[in-house]
Amino acid sequence: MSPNMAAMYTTEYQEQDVWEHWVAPTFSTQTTYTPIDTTWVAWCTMQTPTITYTNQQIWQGWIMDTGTGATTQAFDPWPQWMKMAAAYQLVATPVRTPTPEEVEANRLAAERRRIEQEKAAEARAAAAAKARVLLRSLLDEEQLRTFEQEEKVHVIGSHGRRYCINTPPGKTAGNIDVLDEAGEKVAQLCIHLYGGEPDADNWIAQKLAIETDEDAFLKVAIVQRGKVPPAPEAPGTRSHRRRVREPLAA
Amino acid sequence: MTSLAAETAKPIPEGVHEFAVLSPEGDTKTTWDPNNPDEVESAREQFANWIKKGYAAYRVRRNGERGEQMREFDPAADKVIFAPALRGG
Repeated sequence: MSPNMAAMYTTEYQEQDVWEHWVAPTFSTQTTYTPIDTTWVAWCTMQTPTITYTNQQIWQGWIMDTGTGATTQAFDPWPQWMKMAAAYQLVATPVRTPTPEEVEANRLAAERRRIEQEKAAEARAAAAAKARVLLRSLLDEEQLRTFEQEEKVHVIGSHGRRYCINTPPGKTAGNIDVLDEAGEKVAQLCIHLYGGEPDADNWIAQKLAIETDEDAFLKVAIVQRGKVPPAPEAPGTRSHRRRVREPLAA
Repeated sequence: MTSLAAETAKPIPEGVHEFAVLSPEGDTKTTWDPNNPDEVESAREQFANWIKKGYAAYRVRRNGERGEQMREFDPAADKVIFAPALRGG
């Protein structure tokens, strides 16, 4: 052990010593040493000659930058690694031509995947068509017309609010508009099925929920825009009779 | 229209009742005879099973009229659609 390395194990060793020892084993900023005395140099190479380092020279030594001190190529690990890696790569990964059996196996596997994908697409198309048939069976004449021509279905809720279910292909989320009495959109709702059902099944579930239990529907739906208006006053209720008897002041 | 859709569009014979359960494969239909006690009992069990799984049961009209949600099995309901629970967001 050199006298300088021994200083690491004495009480006189100070915290700068680690870094300094890494580049040079004393507190001096610029000192000439034989390579065996410096950790970094010893790590990089065991060759001589003598080399001069400052604190910045770790990086420069790494990348073979001779700007601040004298170095030799033997002390520059990165370029050496790159040269070695390039040579190794050429040797370690030779190009291999697949055998005829391998080519045929790959072709058959690709064909099987293609067939499976085609079958899955056919199944999805059949499910979508089935769902549309069911939806059409639940629509009246006007709903059927707007569904086919405008891609929307107008629905009246169980408490009288008006809704528009937008039904373009793929639209099952955020597709429900709440309308005011004039038919203007006042809110947008997001509520749908989560099990991968076809689009039309989503629209069926939305329609049935709105029509049969509007309160429960609105409790679950997320209001994305606007505000859901109060339910219209139903004829026969006390508030409706009071309003009819007391017209608004001019 | 695919052959499957054409098959689905066939009218249900008069007097035969139907369950349709919404699923990723489209709706799965089950028909049953309300005059056959065994089939009525089987339909009752199916109804209870779907409700237990969290599905909502809707009695619908064949002519597009407004239906109603069913909480209990009614053998007089000629067409019932079971839908999974809707979720917001």
